[in-house]
Amino acid sequence: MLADPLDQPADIRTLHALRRAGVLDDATLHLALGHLQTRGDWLAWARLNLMVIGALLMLSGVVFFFAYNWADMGRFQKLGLIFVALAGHALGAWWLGLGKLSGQVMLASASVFTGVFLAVFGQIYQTGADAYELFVGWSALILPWVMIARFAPLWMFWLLVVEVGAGLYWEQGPWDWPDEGLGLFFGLLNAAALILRESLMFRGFGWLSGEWLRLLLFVKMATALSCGVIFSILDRSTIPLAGAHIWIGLLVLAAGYYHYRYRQRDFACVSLAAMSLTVVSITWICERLSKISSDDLGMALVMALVIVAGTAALTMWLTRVHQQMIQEARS
Amino acid sequence: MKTSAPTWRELLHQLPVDESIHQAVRTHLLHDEEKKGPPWFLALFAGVGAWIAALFVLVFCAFFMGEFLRSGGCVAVGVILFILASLLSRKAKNVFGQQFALACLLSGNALILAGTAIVLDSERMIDVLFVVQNIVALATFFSYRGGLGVFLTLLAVPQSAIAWCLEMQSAHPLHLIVAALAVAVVGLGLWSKRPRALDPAAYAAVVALPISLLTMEMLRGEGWFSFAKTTTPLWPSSIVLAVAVVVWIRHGIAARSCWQETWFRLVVVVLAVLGLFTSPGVLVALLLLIMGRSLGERVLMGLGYVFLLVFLSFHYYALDVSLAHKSWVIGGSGFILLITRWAADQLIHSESKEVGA
Repeated sequence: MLADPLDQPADIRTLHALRRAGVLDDATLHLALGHLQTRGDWLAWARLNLMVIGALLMLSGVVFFFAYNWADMGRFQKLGLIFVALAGHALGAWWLGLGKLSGQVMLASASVFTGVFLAVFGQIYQTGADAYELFVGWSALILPWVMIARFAPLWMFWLLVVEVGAGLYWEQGPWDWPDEGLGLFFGLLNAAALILRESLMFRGFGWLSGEWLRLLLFVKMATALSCGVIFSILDRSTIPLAGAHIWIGLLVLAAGYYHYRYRQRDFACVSLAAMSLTVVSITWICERLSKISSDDLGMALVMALVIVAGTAALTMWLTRVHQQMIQEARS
Repeated sequence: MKTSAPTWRELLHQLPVDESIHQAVRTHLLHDEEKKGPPWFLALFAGVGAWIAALFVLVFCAFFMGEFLRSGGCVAVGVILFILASLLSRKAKNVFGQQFALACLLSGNALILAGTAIVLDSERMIDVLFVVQNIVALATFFSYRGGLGVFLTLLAVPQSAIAWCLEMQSAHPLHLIVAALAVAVVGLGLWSKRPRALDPAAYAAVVALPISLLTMEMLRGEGWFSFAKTTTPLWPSSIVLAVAVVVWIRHGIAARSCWQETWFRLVVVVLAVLGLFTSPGVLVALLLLIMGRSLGERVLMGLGYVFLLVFLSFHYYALDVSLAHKSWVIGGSGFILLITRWAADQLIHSESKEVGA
């Protein structure tokens, strides 16, 4: 038996749709909205955004200010000012406490200033170090803060620093690794971060539970893997181990699809995995078609039809999966 | 902070409505569930797919009718594709047909514009193209059945107006575009009985507003459109957008009782003052965030945050404004927001003390 739709959670978008359909009048709509978005909700939201946007704008203003006065500053002024900012934010975090969002934001800012300090130090004293060493050093130095802050945006930022460092090491390190492998490497790195997030979330690391974190990691993983696989398909003859790249990429994407379809249900991740697989499949078909025939005229139209058919089939299929997942979540 | 939302049944019991409304809501929800289309990101993916397919259709047309297209057949082929798209969008019941219709619409639109440019070859080309794009958008709105297609062609209208500004090397009309878009965004957003057919127009206006602001920033940078570099002041757009933010807060925020709170009135006054001081990009981000929050549209909020980050990086490269001025405006805006938060906290604290006493 189908569940009564009135037992579903109410939402603001549907309330507006009910008004537009003439089911509710303006007065009832506003009363209902007042129940879904109370004064307390608005206050909490306004406080959060005033702080986040205010801090972002103010930090940007500081960066602009430094950029304006940079050429006229001596080396000690430059390093001194950045160090004062770094120490000030670290002390501010200690004073406010890491239990508060403001304290966590302070520590995140101090982590950013650590990298700025290292970069300026390297620029002034020309240490001769490779660029990847800056990022490796930066990620190592802020790791203790990342661990004690229990702040997901800082964790994400640390991962980004690690990624840049690893990417530069890939290019500048002692081994002559092919650039084409970077897509697979970043994909697997983000897959590892995603697995870590999923396994730690229920083991006392509740601060990692934000849905945006999962989505962001999955987007990064799927994008990197898709790019790696597509490059391998298009340039198979010149990329070493291109076949292995393709299969590993496809397997990780398929595993992602399976996990979020049947284990931890998340339709956004399911869609992303399916979209990536579709894009890869369309690329493979078009690449094969271009090899089969040299008739550019007909091939352009066939490729257009393949793309339309591929995206249409995916849309139909995922719409059905979406409905199934909604029903499964209800039952 | 986040509390679980009440069910529809619980919500309706708290409202002064009779059983017939309960039944009407139930019917609407059931109907909505049956007709539920794909989520927005899937529609976007389908749109991107159709757009890429349209490129291949254009390549096909170019190969197939090379000379014919060059001699002005572009418009004719474009119109045929446009009519085919409209018919398909009305008749096709499956997603494949709808997707193909979208690809035909996009390629038809491109061919009509290109054909007009070839046929007229006029010095005032940009004026003509602007008018033609408006005609195509109007025709799409009335003849094409598919939100994404209408959204994309309507989105092209302000973009063609911006292109006109670039061609004319004049940034002053950009303020008019921003004002028109702000009116469209707020007007369509607040229209509680807005017909469903106008949804694509509302979304197109919302997306076009930040794009217009980014174009204004690009105009101010030497590296981008140096031929159209201008020192046009941004304050007219700032004032228009500050008014838009305040109007939205006045009429769009449902918790009307918020207005009785001193902290709320303080935040509104500060946002109005920001209009005199800050860059319009900051106000667009704030407008999108507040609209997204009050309409329950998380995509709009996401757009607001992403736009703010993109805007700040574009603003950095606006080379005809000194970094000192930019740091003063951007840093000062941040300082005002942080001080407002602190002041609001103090107000709430003192009011709760008074109530306690």
